[in-house]
Amino acid sequence: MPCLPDYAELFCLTNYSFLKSASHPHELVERCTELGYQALAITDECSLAGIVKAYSAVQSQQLNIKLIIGAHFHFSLTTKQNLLIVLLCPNKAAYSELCQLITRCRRRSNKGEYQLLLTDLAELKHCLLLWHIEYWQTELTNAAKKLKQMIKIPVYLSYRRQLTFKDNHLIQQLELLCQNYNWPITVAGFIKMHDKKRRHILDVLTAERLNQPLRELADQLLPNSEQSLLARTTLARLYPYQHLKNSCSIAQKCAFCLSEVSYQYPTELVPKGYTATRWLRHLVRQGMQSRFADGVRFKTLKTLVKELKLIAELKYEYFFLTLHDIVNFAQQANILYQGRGSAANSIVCYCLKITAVDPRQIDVLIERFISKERREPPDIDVDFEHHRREEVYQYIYQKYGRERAALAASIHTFKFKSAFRAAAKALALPAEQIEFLLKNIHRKSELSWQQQLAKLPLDKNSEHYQHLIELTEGLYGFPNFMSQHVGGFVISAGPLHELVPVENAAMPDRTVIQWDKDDLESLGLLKVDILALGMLTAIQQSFALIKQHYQRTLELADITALGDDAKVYQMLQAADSIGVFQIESRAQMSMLPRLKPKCYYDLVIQIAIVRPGPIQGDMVHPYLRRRNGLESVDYPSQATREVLARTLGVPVFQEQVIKLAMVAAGFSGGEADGLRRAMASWKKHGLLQKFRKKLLTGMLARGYQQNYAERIFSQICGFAEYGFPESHSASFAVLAYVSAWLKYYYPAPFYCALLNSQPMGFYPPAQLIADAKRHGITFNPVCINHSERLHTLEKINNENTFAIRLGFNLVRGLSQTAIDTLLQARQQQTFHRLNQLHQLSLAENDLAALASAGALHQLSEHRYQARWQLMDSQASLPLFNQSIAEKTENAGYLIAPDPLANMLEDYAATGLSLHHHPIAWLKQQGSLLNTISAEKLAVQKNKSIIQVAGVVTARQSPGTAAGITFITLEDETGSINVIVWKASVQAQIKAVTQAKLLRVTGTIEISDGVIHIIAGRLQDISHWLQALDTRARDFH
Amino acid sequence: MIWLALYFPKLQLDAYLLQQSEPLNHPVIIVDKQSYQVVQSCSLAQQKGVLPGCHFAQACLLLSDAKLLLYRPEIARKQLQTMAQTLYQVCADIVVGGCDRLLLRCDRMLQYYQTETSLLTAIQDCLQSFNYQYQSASATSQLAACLLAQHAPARHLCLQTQKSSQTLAKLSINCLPVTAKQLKNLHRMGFKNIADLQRLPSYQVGRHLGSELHQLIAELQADQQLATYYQPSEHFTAELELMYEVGQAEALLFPLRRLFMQLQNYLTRRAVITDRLSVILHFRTEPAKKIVITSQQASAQSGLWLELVKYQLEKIQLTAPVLNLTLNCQTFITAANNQTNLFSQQDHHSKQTLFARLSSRCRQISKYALVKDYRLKHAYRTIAWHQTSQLPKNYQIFSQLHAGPIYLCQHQAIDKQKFTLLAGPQRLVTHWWSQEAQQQDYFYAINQQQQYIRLIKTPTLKWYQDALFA
Repeated sequence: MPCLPDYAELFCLTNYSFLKSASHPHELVERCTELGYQALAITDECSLAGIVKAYSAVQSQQLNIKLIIGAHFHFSLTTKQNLLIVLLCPNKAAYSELCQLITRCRRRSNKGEYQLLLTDLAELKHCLLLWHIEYWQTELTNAAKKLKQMIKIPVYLSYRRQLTFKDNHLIQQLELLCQNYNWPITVAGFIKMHDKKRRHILDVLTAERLNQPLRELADQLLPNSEQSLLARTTLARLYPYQHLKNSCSIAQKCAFCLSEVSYQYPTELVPKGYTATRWLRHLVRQGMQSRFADGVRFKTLKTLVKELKLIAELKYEYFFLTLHDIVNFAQQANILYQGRGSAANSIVCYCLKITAVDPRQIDVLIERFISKERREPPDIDVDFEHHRREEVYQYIYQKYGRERAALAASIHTFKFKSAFRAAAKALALPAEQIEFLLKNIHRKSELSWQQQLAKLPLDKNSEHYQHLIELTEGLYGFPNFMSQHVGGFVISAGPLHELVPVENAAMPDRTVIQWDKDDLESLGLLKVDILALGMLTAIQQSFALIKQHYQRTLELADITALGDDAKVYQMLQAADSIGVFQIESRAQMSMLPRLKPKCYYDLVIQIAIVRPGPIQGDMVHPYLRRRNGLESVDYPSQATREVLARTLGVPVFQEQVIKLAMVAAGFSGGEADGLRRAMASWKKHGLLQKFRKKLLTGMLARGYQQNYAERIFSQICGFAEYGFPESHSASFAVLAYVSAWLKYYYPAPFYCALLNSQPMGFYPPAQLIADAKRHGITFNPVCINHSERLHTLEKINNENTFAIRLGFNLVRGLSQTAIDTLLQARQQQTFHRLNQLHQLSLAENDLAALASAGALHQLSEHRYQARWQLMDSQASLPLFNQSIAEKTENAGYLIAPDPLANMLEDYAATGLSLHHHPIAWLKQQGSLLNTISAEKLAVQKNKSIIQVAGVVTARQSPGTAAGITFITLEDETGSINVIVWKASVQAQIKAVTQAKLLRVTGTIEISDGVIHIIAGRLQDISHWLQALDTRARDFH
Repeated sequence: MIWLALYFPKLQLDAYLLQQSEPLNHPVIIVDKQSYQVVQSCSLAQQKGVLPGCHFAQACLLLSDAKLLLYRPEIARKQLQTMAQTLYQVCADIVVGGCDRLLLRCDRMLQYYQTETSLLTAIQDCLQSFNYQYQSASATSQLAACLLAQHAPARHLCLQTQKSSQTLAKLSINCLPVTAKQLKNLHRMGFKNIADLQRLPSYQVGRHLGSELHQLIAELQADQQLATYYQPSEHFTAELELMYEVGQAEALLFPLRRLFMQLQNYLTRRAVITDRLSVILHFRTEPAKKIVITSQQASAQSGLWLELVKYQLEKIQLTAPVLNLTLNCQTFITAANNQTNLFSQQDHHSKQTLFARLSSRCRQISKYALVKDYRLKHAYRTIAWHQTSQLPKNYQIFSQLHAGPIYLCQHQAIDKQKFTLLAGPQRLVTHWWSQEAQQQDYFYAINQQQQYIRLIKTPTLKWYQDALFA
């Protein structure tokens, strides 16, 4: 039996050559291993985006295949001659060279493009070059001459049998070149799929890339499926033995492995005379003096020492120093920030003022943050004011330079809708039909999308139908395009482009590396997350307004230092938490009257308990019962008491679950961390089950009861849906308390700042204003003579009370340029006449927007008249200005808006109305006679049938709610919470999903101060006010 | 001026229903392909709640047995042209408006008819011959008459314009033919109906609302619109929509007979003859095919032309069924000029007639070219020399006079041993998304008769003969 030839595939694309390959990296390496290849070169187009995933697959599955790093390029030698070049990395120097080359090619072009020049190739010293020749290429001799002159690195000729009539001719040409230039010939498959069955997907990706249906593409599609990984028996039949052998010879020269990529943190942060460790300790000591002014507890000190030792051992000092430097800048620039996540477990972070959570207030678990077993860099997320985050970005770029700092990539993959659309377009379905089908497939339906599709008017027997399903399923999860990560920075000591290619992002002056956060984690590169949080902006702006109008300077620490304020907690206990960070949602507001937080730690629990994890794990009710004294608090052992005492014996935080595994079942820190990771990916990989036996065995061995152990395990499974780490909740609780405090004591500045920080939070501006008005805040409308760009405070009657003047930013369709012009002009004059606006040469749309928003009420009788007068085309002519001013402004406009028209215009122009509410208006018209308003619900009889009506402001259908939809309605007196059970949703889905105005008949339930309406009949009454322009926030 | 507007809300539907030999017992709806909305629905459909404006999917849910037709405005336009041609006998001033209305200027015609009743009766008689549903209204301007006919039609045909302005004033501004942006602007200034606009001085309308609206309001009040009156066509065109799709070319002779009779009548009435005409075959998705027939002997006789077209049809292989036929004739010769002898008989076997028959019978000159298509049987084609610029873009010719096969065989299994392979394989796996999916290897070979042959090998290793080369 003849032995199979050895082979190494040297030219292979992954689907990270976006839309050009139909296989994932792991599929390619697995298939190559199955086929018995010696090696596989991953050579995406001018990119190394796929190599880390291939490398991770080889490592994790311990595949017996050598992975070679490379890239391929389309290269224009002349205007008429395009070559296909593959570069491979035999060693680390070649790898660095390749990264730099890709960076140069990408940086000199627009995002998504690249340009390779002959001079780039001429400068290469370490790489290996494959000149891949296809049958359609001509003038090979001229090209060969040029390459021979310029290229100094080893060159090989590669080709593939495409099974056309020109294959033999191609081989003859190659042999001639080989003779003349002494370039060995090798086989290279130019692989685009690991299996021929992926051909359909590849064609659809081509159609998507070229934006044409398949039937229009002719020879732009592949003629056959030969660009796939072939069995060695097939290769032996197709190719001469020597050519196959040469592929292995080339592969043997390539010894570079990604594990050699080493990463250095920037070192300039350490002053002379110090090492990184010593400098970090110095900073920590400094920080301790301010953070622990009244002394450090022994326990805290012990944890701190442990942490510093671990940091030194794992050499993470520079990571902390870099972050410290960034937050230092923020402090100096007066940008509010806060570290969160597992970093709040770190006392070092607290001392360095990266986080604001006092470790004395929570149970710190350092292993959650760093552990030796995990071999992962620590993950510290720092939130900054969202309007000023760009300043932090620019600081990083300025300090480290564009070469040493770049954002991580974020890979966008095909989701259901995009996959379906791509497949349908490729099959040439009409655009209207595609949109119709998508509109009628609901994510929330209990039926799968395939089942829903079967119910739609589409010929089930047609081939198109089957193809549509097959292609959509196949495309799901495929990389589609790359963009920048939301805030993940990679900063290095040396130029980044020696480690990983860097390319232009879509935003100007932004560069992004070609690896995403998972790649960085796999290779141990450290990433700093510079994130944005709207509430920080709101709090900072509140402080600024308080300083300006109340002459009081406040910081976060000042408020937390005041301790727990009973009045603030009373407000929260009454579920008066709209606008308060993290506890303003419908679910949180339902929990507040039950949990009744009285102190900071209660808030920490409040934030963490309303999460899918504790809900799924059935921890919420046991906790509440114990808290309210309805159930006794017991612990099976002292060890568990120490872990669970703070939460009355019920695990609420993620760390508690991990600690329980350690103390009750004997897990080591690393094993416990493995459990944590399994929890995070429970639904995806189902790895939790393998911990069940160990957990139960360990607990039983330590004397715990079987049912207690089972309960703990089921709670762990529940937590897999995501529970908060205590540290994370603690960070958020600081902001929650501060925002509640500001709401209570300084409501006008608070609401003003909240409105200026939109979009953020759970509620749109209209609901925030409604809530503010219920708290006695007066609002003044947008005014041409009094408004600024943002909302501002105005004193009322020279007392120390303030009204909020709405700003120009609220007016829809008003451009920033127009606002600038108005504000500038207003420095010189007050507007008395509309004519003055004409002189400013504002665009017609801007004038119309101002008129419709009622901003010109001082210059005109009403908005219709204002709009009418502003649309006078002659008024803008300079010669006519004076006479127009007299004539038109004295002419009364015949049509005046009635209250309904005013209200509709308010909503259309600003999204809210200060004077009218749609429900109030309908009630005045006698349309909603039997409905109960929100303020009167509390006095209704529990479990009675009532009718309510309101504007739909939010819809929520959380995954934990088993198909239940929560709808928030708003009437003129407040908000109403409606619960729609799954069957009602299915039966009345149109009203549930599309209504702007809803009338609900249902049963009222009042329990512990929490009021819900369980919906029976839902009636969409949007058509009663068809012109009303409101937009609900739909969550999930 | 007195304008009478006739608005036909369901012209295509009415035309379709009239073609049916029996009354329908199932609903019929017409759907616009672009917006997927129902544009016309019969009374049966409307009873079940399917009204114009309803989405197609909703209609499907409400009607399980509806007959669905695609909206084709060109059918309505043709019907309007036909009606205009008939009404031309009654009224010389006709304006054809889009695909759903006709405007008749009646003040001039009243001079000839003397009474309004006689004019209206004549108009009504013409309309009754078509039996289409219509709405009518009269006003002093075209635009006003159109709006009233569509939104506030009169109960019966009349030319009373006194109350039309009052009725017009009450119409909502949503009826006006303005852009969505203009309409939104009007709403946001409080305008609700046309009266609100008409109350404003016209100079203010122009200054504040723009010249377009100013012009529109002016046209409502007095007719300022330039009318493009209907002119009967100078050329002969007759169309026939077939009752069912015809797949065989020879079967087209029967419907063509009718068209040629119409041509004969047309030519005879005008005392002209012709020596050239064209027949256009319309398909569902493929481009229309034009057959030009010429004759050395000009004639008006349908029999002669039918015979000539029969020869042409024999040469044609229909690639798709025919839905529609069009007969065009644009060249006319005065019949008197063609007579050589007042007493001579028509010689049906004259040289010219024979030559005409022979020309019709012979093959058209065409180019032979290779186009980009992996389906090799489609890759080599003959294309009429004048058609090279009309091909779809993916069928671009990139090689002229390539030596493709002269004959495509029906796939017949062969014994591979009797062939000598010259080149191959060329593996083609393509068109998996369509009915023409193929997956085979192509080889070129010589058979025992030294003929050049193209062979196919399937994935199941069966060999077939595919094509023969010259």
